Amino acid sequence: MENIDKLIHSNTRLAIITYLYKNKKATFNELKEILKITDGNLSVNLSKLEMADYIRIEKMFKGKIPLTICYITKKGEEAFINYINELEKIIKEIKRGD
Amino acid sequence: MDKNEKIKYEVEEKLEIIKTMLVESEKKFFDNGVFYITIGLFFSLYSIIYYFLIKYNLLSIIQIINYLPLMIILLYLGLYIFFKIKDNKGKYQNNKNIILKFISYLWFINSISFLLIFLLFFSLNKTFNLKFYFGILSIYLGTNFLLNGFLFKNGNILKISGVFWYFILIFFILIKESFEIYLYFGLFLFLFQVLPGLILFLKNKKING
Repeated sequence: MENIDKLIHSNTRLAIITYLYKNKKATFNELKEILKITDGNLSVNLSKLEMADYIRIEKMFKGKIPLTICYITKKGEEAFINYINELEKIIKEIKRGD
Repeated sequence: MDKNEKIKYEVEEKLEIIKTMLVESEKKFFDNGVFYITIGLFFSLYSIIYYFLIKYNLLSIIQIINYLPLMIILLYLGLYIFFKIKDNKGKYQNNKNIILKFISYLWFINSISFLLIFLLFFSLNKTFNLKFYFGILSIYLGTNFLLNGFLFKNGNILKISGVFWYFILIFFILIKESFEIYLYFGLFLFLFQVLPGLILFLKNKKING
């Protein structure tokens, strides 16, 4: 488990990165609706992913309504693939142990 | 719980999260409701205007035009609107997946069927039965709305509409055959197609901006 990416390993961040990996982008409200978490919780987790360059956040206005769109970066995609590979390795090790 | 079991439990939990999010992604698209509003308003107005034309003996005005070319024009107009909305839907939603395609073609094929059934009934002038025709439309709409409701993520409003359309079928069975059915159908379309569309539109706007 020591090689696993600790940043993605958190349940909320794993959910965010999986969703973004599949859809490439999502709005803040869309993620909130799917993850069923508070604005604050989502903001904190998005900031952590953004600081690691796993995602890119764009803030804009659509008319008078603020709109936040999150995009997965190349680094984020690679991190997700690596995470999956690590999980696979762990599963194999467990199976060998059984 | 030993270390291995603990790791196994943790990995299973993570895999479950990934699986859930992938499933969510598949059904993620939010219906923006524009389709229901546009098509609903078009047919609702058509039905209500037709009722008033009959009521005030003005039908002769449009009877100058042969109904068959008119129906063909309407069919092409419907197809044009369908493809226009379908394109806009694609722009509005991030991913086009199999469910979206299924829904699009379901409405497309059924819209053609509505018009063809209408043509068929119209050609059988003497046996034209409004109750029967609108009853069939209610079943079509009920089925379509229920299917849409189950497939879309924000589908509760569509499921409710679907159930209402099945109840409307009972209404058509029970009422007396008269030209007022056009008015009822127009109003039902407004209540159970245009209004749900508006609700979805506002909900979608809130989520997707």
